[in-house]
Amino acid sequence: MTNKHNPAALNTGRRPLRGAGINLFYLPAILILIVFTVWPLLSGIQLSFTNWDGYSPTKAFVGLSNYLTMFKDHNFGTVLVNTLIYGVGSTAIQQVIGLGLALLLNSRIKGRNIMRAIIYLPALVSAVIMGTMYYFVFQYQQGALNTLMVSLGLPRVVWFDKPAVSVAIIVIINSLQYVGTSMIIYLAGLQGMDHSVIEAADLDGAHGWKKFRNITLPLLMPAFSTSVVLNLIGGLKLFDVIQVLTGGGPGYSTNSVSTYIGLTYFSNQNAGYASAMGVVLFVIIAIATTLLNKGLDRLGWES
Amino acid sequence: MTSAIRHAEAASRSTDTTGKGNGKGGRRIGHALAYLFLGAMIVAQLLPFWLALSAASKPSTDMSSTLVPRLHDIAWDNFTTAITQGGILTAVGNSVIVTVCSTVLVCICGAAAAYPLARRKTRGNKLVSAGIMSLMMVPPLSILVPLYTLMVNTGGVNTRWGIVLVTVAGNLPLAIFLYTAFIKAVPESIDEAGMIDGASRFMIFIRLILPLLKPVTATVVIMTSVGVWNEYALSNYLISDPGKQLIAPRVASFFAMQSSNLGVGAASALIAALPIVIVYLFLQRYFIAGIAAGAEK
Amino acid sequence: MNKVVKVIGAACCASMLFGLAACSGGGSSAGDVELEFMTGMATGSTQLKAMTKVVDAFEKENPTVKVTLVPGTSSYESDLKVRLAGKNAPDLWNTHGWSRDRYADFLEPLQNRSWAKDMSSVIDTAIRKSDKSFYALPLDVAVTGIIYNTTVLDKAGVDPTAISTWDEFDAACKKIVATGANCIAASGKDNWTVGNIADYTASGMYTEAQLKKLKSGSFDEASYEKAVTPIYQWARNKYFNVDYTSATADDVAKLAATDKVGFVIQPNSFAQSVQSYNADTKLGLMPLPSAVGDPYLVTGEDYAIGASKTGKNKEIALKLIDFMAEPANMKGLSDTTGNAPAISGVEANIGQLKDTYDYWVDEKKTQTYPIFDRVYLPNGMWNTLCTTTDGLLTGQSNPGNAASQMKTSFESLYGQD
Repeated sequence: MTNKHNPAALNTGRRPLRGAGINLFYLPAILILIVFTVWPLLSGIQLSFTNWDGYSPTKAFVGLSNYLTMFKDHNFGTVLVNTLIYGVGSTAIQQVIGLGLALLLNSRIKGRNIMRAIIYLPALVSAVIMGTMYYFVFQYQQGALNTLMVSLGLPRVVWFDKPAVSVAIIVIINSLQYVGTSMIIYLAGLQGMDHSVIEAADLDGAHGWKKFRNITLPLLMPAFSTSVVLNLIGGLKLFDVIQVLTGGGPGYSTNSVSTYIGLTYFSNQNAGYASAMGVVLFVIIAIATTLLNKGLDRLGWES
Repeated sequence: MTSAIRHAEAASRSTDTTGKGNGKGGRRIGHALAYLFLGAMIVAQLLPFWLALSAASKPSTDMSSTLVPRLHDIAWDNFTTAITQGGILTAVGNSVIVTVCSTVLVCICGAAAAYPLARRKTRGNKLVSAGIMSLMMVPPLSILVPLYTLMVNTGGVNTRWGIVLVTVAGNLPLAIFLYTAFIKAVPESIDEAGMIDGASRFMIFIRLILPLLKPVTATVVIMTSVGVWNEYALSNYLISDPGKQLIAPRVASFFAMQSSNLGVGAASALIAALPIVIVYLFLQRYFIAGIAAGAEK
Repeated sequence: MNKVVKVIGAACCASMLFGLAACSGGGSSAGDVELEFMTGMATGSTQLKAMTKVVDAFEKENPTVKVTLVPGTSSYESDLKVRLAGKNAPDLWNTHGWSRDRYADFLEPLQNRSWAKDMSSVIDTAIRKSDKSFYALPLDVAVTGIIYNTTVLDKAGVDPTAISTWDEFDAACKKIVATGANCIAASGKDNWTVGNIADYTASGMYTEAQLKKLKSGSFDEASYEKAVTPIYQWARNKYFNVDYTSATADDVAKLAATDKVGFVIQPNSFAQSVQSYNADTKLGLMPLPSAVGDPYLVTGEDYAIGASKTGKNKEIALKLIDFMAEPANMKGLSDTTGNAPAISGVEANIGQLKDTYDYWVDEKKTQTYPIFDRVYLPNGMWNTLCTTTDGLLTGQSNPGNAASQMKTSFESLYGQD
């Protein structure tokens, strides 16, 4: 950053510009966040050390027992694995398809604006509603897919019969809904590129895959890291789509940590344990994102 | 579409002059596959909306496939029921007020907060940045009950300021993230020029930086307004008064535990989605530009 | 841009002021009372319409009172718990059945109201505490058993009145499946439907002595294992609808409406859902076979309204409950539930199931048991009941596993309330 400084401005400009007083600008935002997010979060952490049932006025301190329960609860293992599949799976799919779409829709195709809007459309609708709409696709009797199967002379399929298939369908649906966000970020990356670099590459005779691999891809690194981080956070917090499509079933087999927290908090009346799982989920997402950011930074430096 | 294909073919021919014979065919197959992929994606993204329209066109006694809409005798009842009994229009009005207020506040607070975080990179500020980012990862259910209790105690339940402040808090971290990335790409020489002219930091921000933030503001406006418009979990609890209820919980009230009327539900979902889609179509151009400028490092 | 910011800022301030004005302006001129009533009924449902009618009449009689009816969502139960947790209970709410154990501490007792003596004694076990106190006005008395589709049974040559044991039920299933229909249907996505199956059948799987033991807090795995084994067997014999895992409760109703299923073990309101899809469907009611005695019906209620103990306008909320209990209003409300009214002297209208209902209840005087989990399981076990039974249907679990999971949950929750 310092190399951007105009040396002539150093004497007059630098000191006041970098003074601590400038921090006053973030005071309103910080205040709002402390009151409406940090404070409730801390109270939530406090609840994780109690046996509260989630609604009655009484609760007792139980120390770390909620955290220990997690190791014994084999359902927690299942939902943790599911959460990682939802997070990593949809992030991967979104990057591949999102980048592909961005490359196609960055060229001078006729009607590209309307196509971009269509791809982004599902991201504008709430996940609950999109989930309900996708249910129309997979429904057994009246669903779109089974209508096609029948018209092709094939038997109807119970799409959410096997947990593994259900998890895969949820990953695909979540990816499709937010693939538009990745596409937009990559489009932005493509449009923000320094054209002189690309022209230089053209002059050097770099074409097709080689040009893409050596020139375009490295320049897209910032877009890549933004997109991956946003998708990963969204995927690891996945809640609504699961709730609408499978309700977490059969059994607990398609729950994510988030939906399992919901079940535990309200249906099983174990708010203390649910809060403890919330803390663990928060820590997992934070660690995953930090590691990822570090890794992406290194990748960015190398290329 | 056809002209695009012709263009692509022309391009492939021109670049192929030095290539070997079979490269041309391979390229053409590649193009065909690319368009196939694009076509498939567009069908996949439109299919759920088609099905929702189809479901909304049928009365509950029509149990035919959702793939085929009922064209001969559209059940307009579904739409009129959604509007009259569901009070969808009132809810849309409420949501517009809350969304506009939250979005404006998020833009103001977010841009202001991003300025020092992008310019004054002390260890403390880096920590503040990381802290704000980490708030994006808070699972909503972890804070739901404490937040609700807080709002009850401060009298913020069933008030517009309550839901506005809560949604502002929910959307600020992403806004700050986007604004910070953008301001980092704005040369510091602009600030310094202002300093030389003797302007205060506040005036520099208002007069010199703010006008440059237009593209990224479009991005923040879209992200935030979509977020607030679709917010369900918190607004469901914070606003229970049907006269003040927001659109997302309103649509959900068509899907109760035992009997849900999918036709009316689909109709109300479509009405609910319409305003935000219109806003998006107006802002799409700036939306990409806003992220683009921020992505340059 | 500067100008733009100012304009937007002004617009925001203006709209916020407008908002605040709207909030304060809409409500109370001096002396007006506002009551908030969480109904748990869906927007546009017949129940909510009937309730709106009663409340409108109440407001007419009491012009200073304004009642806000809040429709329910599919997360109604969590909605209420959050309200209670925040110490911001609504003035009145629908306790959707589990009033006694979960909400007794939050609700005003009602046994001294003038209408209390007229309340049907059939649901005493489900709604009253041991000291005879109760906390919610039941809008209906659900006397439920197995609902069957007459068309499907006729086609398979099954006579529902001849089924009095689970073996006979099994034989009937074989015949129905042979005709290409499903014997019994449930929905895995809305897994409360399988919870109902276990809940209704369990009462007849336990002996008196075993039930007493359960009530005193000892959960015997072997008896529960035995109790849910039939459900597991039905699933293994493919008596259930094939799309069980992905079906919703509405899908089950549609199956019945298109004559594709023989039996359904659900509340009587299910019959209404079926008829919203096809008004001509022929349905009937029959008692549940018992493993330990004669066939029986189960009793409970679908809707029960209570008033908050801490409400600011408790007296008026109670007055509204009294108003609902008046026979004319009671009739309007219970008619929409497909069940009998809970107050004596109110004429019943149970629609489609009426003939068979009258036959079993009035003519045959079939014995009734309370719904199993209300009386014998601690508060908070419903979800475990649903999930473990779901596991039995999908084959992910077996009766032994289900019993041990139920035991764990039972022991952690028993005595909590």
